[in-house]
Amino acid sequence: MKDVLVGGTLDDLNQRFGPADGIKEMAALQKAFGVFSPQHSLKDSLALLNIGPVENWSERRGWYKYLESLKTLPSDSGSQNAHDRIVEALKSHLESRDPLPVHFTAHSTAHNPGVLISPSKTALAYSTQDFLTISLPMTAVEKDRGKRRAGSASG
Amino acid sequence: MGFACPATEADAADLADVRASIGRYYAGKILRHGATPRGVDWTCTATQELRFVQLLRVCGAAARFSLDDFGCGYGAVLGYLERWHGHATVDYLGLDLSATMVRRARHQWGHRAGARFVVGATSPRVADYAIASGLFNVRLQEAPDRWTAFIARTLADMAATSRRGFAANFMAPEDRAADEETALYRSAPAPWIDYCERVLGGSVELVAEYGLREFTLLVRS
Repeated sequence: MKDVLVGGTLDDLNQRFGPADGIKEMAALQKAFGVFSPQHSLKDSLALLNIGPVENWSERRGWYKYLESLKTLPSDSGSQNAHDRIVEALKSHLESRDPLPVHFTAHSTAHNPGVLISPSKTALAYSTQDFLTISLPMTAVEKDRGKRRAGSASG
Repeated sequence: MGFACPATEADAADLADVRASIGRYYAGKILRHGATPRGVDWTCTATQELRFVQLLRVCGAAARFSLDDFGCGYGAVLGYLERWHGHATVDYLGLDLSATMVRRARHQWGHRAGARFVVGATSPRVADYAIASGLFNVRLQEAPDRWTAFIARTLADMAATSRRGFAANFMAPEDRAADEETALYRSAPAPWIDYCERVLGGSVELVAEYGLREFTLLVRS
C-alpha cells in the first residue's frame, strides 16, 4: 500500500468511528450484525464497512494484507496477537453502553512492535473529546525493488 | 403544517425531467463504482443493510410475499434477503429509472427465481409491499418544490401498487443547518407522515433512532 494512502485510510477510519453520528452508527451496526466478532477477520469486517482504499484494487489488497499481517504481531494484552486484540477491543467497546469515539493512529514497530489500545483524553491536540485510541504498528518498507534487493543482498 | 403536497399539481413533464436526471446520475455512479454500495451512493454494505432491516419491518413476519423495490439499484436487497431471510419466499420486482442500473441488476440476479427488474418509475403490478431506500436523498440540482413533488408522486405510486403497505426512508435534518448547497434532501418526519396519512390514507409507523441520521416510515394500508 502506498505511503500516501495510509493517511487517507486512517482518516476514513477516524471519520467512520468518529464522534456523534460516526460512533453511533458503528454501535448500531455492531448491534444489528455483530460486525466485529472472533468469527470474522478484521479484513472481512472492514471490507463490510468499505474502509480502505476504494479507487485502486491492488492498493486495497495491500491494505487487506496489512490487516492479515496483524495476526503475526504482538499486542499490549499478554499473549493476544494484534489482530485479535483489535477485534476484541472494538467488539466490547461498541457493545458498551455509551461508547467513546475511536481514534486510529499509527506508530513505528521500531518504537513498539505491537498494537496499543487505551482510552485517551489527549488524542487530538485541538480537541477536548475523549477517545478510545488504537495505535497500529507500522513498518517503513523500501518501495524501490532494486534497492530492496541490494539491501537484502548486502544485509 | 406549512407543507403543501404538490403531487396532484405536479406537471407530468416536469417530473419526467426530474426522473431523467436521476437516471443519468445513477447511471454515472454504477458505471464508475460497479455493483457496490458506492455504485448507489451508500457508504457500505453494512449501512445499506441496516436500512433494509428497517424498511422490511413493513412486511412483518410474512414468509411468502411479493415486493416491489422502487429505486432498486443493482438489487442489493436481494443479497440481504438471501443472507438474513433465506427462509422467506419473495416474489421480487425491482424498478429503477436507470437502464444501466437495471442491466447490472439483471446481470447480477438474472439467475434468481422470482426476481425481475424493469426500467421505470411506476410498478406494472400490484404487490403485497413496496419499499424505497435512499430514493429521495439526492435531489441533485432540482428546486425544492420539484423534488417534493417527485417524492409525493412516488409515494402515491407506491401506495397505489402495494396492497398491504409500503416503506421509505428519508435523511433527517442536521443539528446545524448546512445542506442548502449539498444537493441532499433532508426532512423532518411530520410532513411526510401527514401526507401518507391524510392524502394516501395509510396508517404510519415512524422508525427512528436506529443509529443513522435518518428515519423510516412504515405505511400500512
